[in-house]
Parts: sequence; structure tokens; C-alpha cells
Amino acid sequence: MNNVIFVINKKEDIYLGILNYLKENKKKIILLGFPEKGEEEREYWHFLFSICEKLECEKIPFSVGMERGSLFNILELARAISAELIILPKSKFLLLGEEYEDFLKELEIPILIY
Amino acid sequence: MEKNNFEKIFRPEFIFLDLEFNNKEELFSFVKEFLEKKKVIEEEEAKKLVGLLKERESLGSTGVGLGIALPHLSLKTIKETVCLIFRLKKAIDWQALDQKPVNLVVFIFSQEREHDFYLQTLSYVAQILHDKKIVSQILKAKRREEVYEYLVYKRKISFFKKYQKVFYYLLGMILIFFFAKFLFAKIKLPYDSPFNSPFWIKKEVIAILLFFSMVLGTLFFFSQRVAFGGFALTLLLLTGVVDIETTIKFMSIPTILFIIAVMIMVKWFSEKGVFRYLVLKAIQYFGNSPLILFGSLMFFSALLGGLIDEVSAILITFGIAIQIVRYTKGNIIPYLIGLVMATNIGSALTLIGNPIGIYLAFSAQLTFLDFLRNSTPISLLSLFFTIFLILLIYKKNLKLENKIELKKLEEEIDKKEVKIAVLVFLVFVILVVFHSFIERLLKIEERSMLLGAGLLIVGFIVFYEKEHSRFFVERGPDWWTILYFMFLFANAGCLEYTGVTYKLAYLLSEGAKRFPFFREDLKETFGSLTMLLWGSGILSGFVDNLPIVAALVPVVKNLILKGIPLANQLYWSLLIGGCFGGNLTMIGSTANLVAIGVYERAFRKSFRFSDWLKAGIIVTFFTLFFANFLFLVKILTLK
Repeated sequence: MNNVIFVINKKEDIYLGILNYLKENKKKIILLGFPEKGEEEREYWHFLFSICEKLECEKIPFSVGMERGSLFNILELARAISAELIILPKSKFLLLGEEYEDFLKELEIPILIY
Repeated sequence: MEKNNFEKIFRPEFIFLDLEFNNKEELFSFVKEFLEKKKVIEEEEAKKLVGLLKERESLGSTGVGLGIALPHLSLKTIKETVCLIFRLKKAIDWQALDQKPVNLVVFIFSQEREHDFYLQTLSYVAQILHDKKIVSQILKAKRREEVYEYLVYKRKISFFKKYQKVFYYLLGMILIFFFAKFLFAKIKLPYDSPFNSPFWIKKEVIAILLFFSMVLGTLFFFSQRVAFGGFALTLLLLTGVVDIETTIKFMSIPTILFIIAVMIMVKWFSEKGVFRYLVLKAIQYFGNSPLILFGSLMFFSALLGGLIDEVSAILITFGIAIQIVRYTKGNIIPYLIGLVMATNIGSALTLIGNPIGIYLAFSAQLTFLDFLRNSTPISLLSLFFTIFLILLIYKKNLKLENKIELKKLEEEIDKKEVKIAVLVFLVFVILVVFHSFIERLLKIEERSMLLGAGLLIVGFIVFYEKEHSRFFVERGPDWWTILYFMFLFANAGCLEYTGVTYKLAYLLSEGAKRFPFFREDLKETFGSLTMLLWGSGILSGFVDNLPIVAALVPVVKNLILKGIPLANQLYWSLLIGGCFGGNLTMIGSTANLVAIGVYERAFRKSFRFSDWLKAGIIVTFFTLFFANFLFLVKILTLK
């Protein structure tokens, strides 16, 4: 089964539509919290586990995790687990600033920004 | 939610330290039996527990990274939320996201009705277990009560433990201050040197203190090493120990430019698949037997280490080794240790293999041919000796079950691009090898062609790749390391500027005079050489080799000025000691750490300090001893 990295954003609720799409396409979802510097992790974990419950009920395969630091860490994770897609909130992508060109160059798989 | 609300879900009697399980299933069965025995859940539900936990894991691993797993379930017959904590004696595979094996497992079982509290408990536990300091204390705790107290924040990490590294750092600095102020400052050079005056002694003490503030900072706070370098350099300038012009001079800009150029080239060659292609070809020729394959891969790893740099070389050859082992079901450990050791030894083959080689070339005015004449034979002979030693240690672990099929791997390489890159690589090697000859021919300054070769190829890459070249220029060099090198060179240069290295050279030559040696005329040379070789070798096993070499190069310069016979051989003892010493421990060189990181991610296993030590001690001791013997033969032959 193919892995999809889904970076959640605790302020968005658009994720349900995306999860339905992934469910239909039989993907394994790697739910990832990605707090910014100074942000509390607890809220992200809470949000992650509440999504987990929905996935468990619907028997959708998933894993959860937390990353910090640069978005390039997510690229490394994607390489390590041979992910086929990265789903990223717009707000996190904008954090790249001038680094976005490098990020796109190092990107070897499709990216979906929501 | 107050932290106290979680106290009741943790109980010391539900914490288990250092139990051993072979897999998740064994642990689940233990949990089931325990909960049943303690009557936490009813018998009917207990029977289903292992199945439910397995079902949850089959949906996706509950491993959350950093060696931690959080299996969790909502149950019908449980009276209240409970947590069972297991610190495992032996880490087990949990298919975690970061692929690390798990040694801390926290089970969370909750009442179905307490949904909100269940979610809050999960996020609370996940959050505290993502705090590396708390996890490290839990892993070290001697009693289950200690673990409990850390989990409910009743036990704060003690001030000393929290700032342990800071204390060690400060203690080290105090010791160095006393050493510099009350011992080193008392050393008087025998001739009427200005460095004996109070003016220079004061500067000496500051220079020693600030140099070691950087070295100890690198040792204890590796990720902050650039900050320590920057602070040290700032203080050197503010205290008036050096001026800006001298600082820039000591930064050794030609060395830095050359390192940048090599890093850009390596990134480009690597992207084009040059190294992968070369190693694959080698395996095709030598890959019929496991022993020859292993030996040839070690040889090529060393060769690449000498021709590019140790980190890129190990990434390439160890990557190939992982594919070989996966396909042939062999054992990866001999490949990991053997390839890293060969690469470290190979990095002394040429001028460009290791930053210390490049630094020596520019600061001690050495040419590529000097390296070929002096370090290459010793490094090459030591390499064959190391291959023999490693084969002897691991010959029983090198069985391959399947034959190697490399066609698939080869298909991934764009041969046209490889040809262009190989051609460029050859031009670079030719220019570097013959740089001194070309410089004499063109009557230009020494090492101009050496630096020019690097810059020329970078120019070509930018021209050839057009807009894509920004990728190589910006992502090729490790800018963090480059900045660190600049600070380090300037800090080390201040030791020379303030006369510290003159005194060190004096002490070294006095010590060497007492060295037992049958030739009185070579006693000082061989004694200094042996002390520098073993000293830099053993220290490099624990600290980065560049600060050691950067501090000792001026010492050798002073010994040359002092007129001891064949003193230029001492440079090679520094290079060989610095490169070979990296094999002593698993933290001895960057290549070791990089390869171990790749191994842990790829095989989901931890690598311990002791796994390395046996081969590390044997190989380092014998190669340093062998190199020492070769130096002896060389000195006797030359004089």
C-alpha cells in the first residue's frame, strides 16, 4: 500500500474531504503534526488523535507522528518511507519563503497544497 | 487540563522496567495477562485484547518515533483510564515512522464513555514523551517510582542533570584557564623570545582559553559549534588579541574556496551518477565471491574517499552495500564497519580526501605530488593491511545467499550524462595532480593552479547547467561547516600568532629528546613524529580531527624552523594520525556518524558504542602501529 504524508493544520477543517479521497484510493496515511517554533505540541497531538479515531472507525490505515524544524525534514521522511504524495497546508508552505525554490527542486514526488 | 488530573492514570505498580520481549505479540500477551490478573478488565474482554491491539497495529504503527510507541484502545469493561509503561531491555521493531526500534512502550486503555479524557490523556502522554530530556531520565531511572514522578511532573529533572553539559563545559574551561594561566604561561622559551614577555603571555592565555572554548563547545554542543566559533572569534577581536587583517589571513580563504569548489563538484558528480556507475562497474568485475566483493568495495570506498571526500564516498558505497545485502540477504555490519574504516584511511590518500589534507596543503605549502610521494604509499599500504584485518575479523559473516544482479541498478543511470561528468572529473584530477608542474611552467604563484582547478570546474558546471546550476552552488557546499571551518582556522591561527605553538613545539622537542631511539641524530624527529601520530590519532577518535590538526600545524612549522632533521615528515604524521584515528570509535569521524545514521534508518536497528569498539581498537592500533613502522623505515631510508 502506498504511503501519503498528510501534514495537518489544526486550524483547518478541510481535512475530512482529503481523507475521504485518500480512503477511496486505498492509501496509507501518515498523519503528521508540524508545529512552528514556540508552538505547543499538545494541541497538535490532540488534533492528531481525534482524527485517528475517525480513521480507526473507518478502518483506514494510518500512522501518526510529529516533526519539527524545516520542511526539508518532511522531504527526508518522504524519501525514507517512499511516500508517493505530500499533502501540506498552505500556511506551512508559505513559511518556506525564499527556500521554496530549493524545496521544489528537492521534491521528487507530487505535493498537494490545501 | 491540569497536570495533576493525570496522576491517577499512572501507577508505579503499572510501570515495568527492563523486561525483555522478542516482539510486539509477546508484549501484548503479557499486558493481557497482567490486566486480567489485576482485574482491570473483565475476562471476556481480556480474551479479545491481544487481537484488538494487533488489529490497531495493522491499521498503522503506534510507534510515534524516538523509540516510543503508544498503543491505545477504548474498552467497554475498564473502570477508569490506565496507563501501562514498559521500558524494554531490548528494543523491538515497531515499524515506527522514523524506523527506529522501540524501547519505551506506553499502553493507554480508556473507558469508552470517557472519550474526551481519553484524547487528552493520549495527547498529554505523547507530548511528555516527545520531550527528549524526560525520556532520557525515564530510560536512566533506577526505580519505577522515579519514572512515575517524571510522568506526572512531580520529579523535576535536577538542575545538574538538566544542565549537565553546561557544567562539564564550564569545568573544562576552568581547568584550561588554570592550565593556561599557571602552567603554560610559566614555560619560557630558551632564547630571547618576545613571547616570554607579560604582554604576549596575557594574549597567550586568552588565545588558549578561547580556542578551547570552541573545541569544548563543539564536543558538548555539536549543533551549536558555529555559535561557539563566532563567540570565540569575537572575543579575540574585542580583547585585542588579534586585528581584523590577521583574522582574515588566518581564515585561510584559499583553503575555504577550494573546499567549497570540491563540495559543489561532488554534488554535481553525484547527481549525474558518476560514483554510483564507477562502483557498480567495479562490483561487476570483482563481485563473484563475497570476500573479493567486500575487499574490492572497501578498496573503492577508500579510493573515492581519497578522490572526493569521506562523507560523499561513504554515502555512495554504503548505499550500494545496502542494496547488495538486501538482495543477497547478507550481513550489513561488516560492510558498515569495513567501508567506513577504509574510507577514513583512504581520505589520507590524496590532498583532496579530507579537509585536514586541504588545510595542510595550503597552510604548509604542500603540493599534490608531495601527498602522492608521502601520504599515498603509507595510506595505501595501511589500506591493504586494514582490508586484511577486517576480512580476518568478519570472514565468517560474509556469506551471500543470492548472486548479485546489478542490471536493474545500472538501468537507472543516464550514461550520456555520466560520460560528460567523468570527462570533467578526469580534467579536474589531471589539473590537481599536475598543479605544481603547471605552476612552474607558467611561472605563477604556488597552488594557484590547485585553486584554479576547483574554480574552473565550478565555472564549467554553472555554464553547463545554466539556471539549474544554482541548485549545485547553493545545495552542494555545507555552508554551516564552511563557516565553522573559517572560525576554526582563525581561532587556531591565533595560537600561532600569540606564540602558543612555539611553546608547544619547544615542549614537544624537549620530550622527543628523551625518546628511546637507537639513532641519536634522529631521536628528536622520530620522537616528535611518534607523539604527533599517536596523539592526533587517539584524540581524533573522540574529537573532530580538524581542530587538532589546525592547532598542531603551527607546532610543526616551529619544529621545522628549529631545524630538527626531516621535520617536514611531521606534517604527514598529523595527516595519517588524524585520518586513521577516526576509526577508533563510532564518533571518530563524520563518515562514521553518517553511515551509522543511514544504517539505523535502513535496518530499524540501533548501533551501540560497543558494536564498533572491538574492530575500532584493533584496526586503529594496528594501522597506527603499522604507519609508525613505515615512517621509521622512511626516515631511516632518507637519512
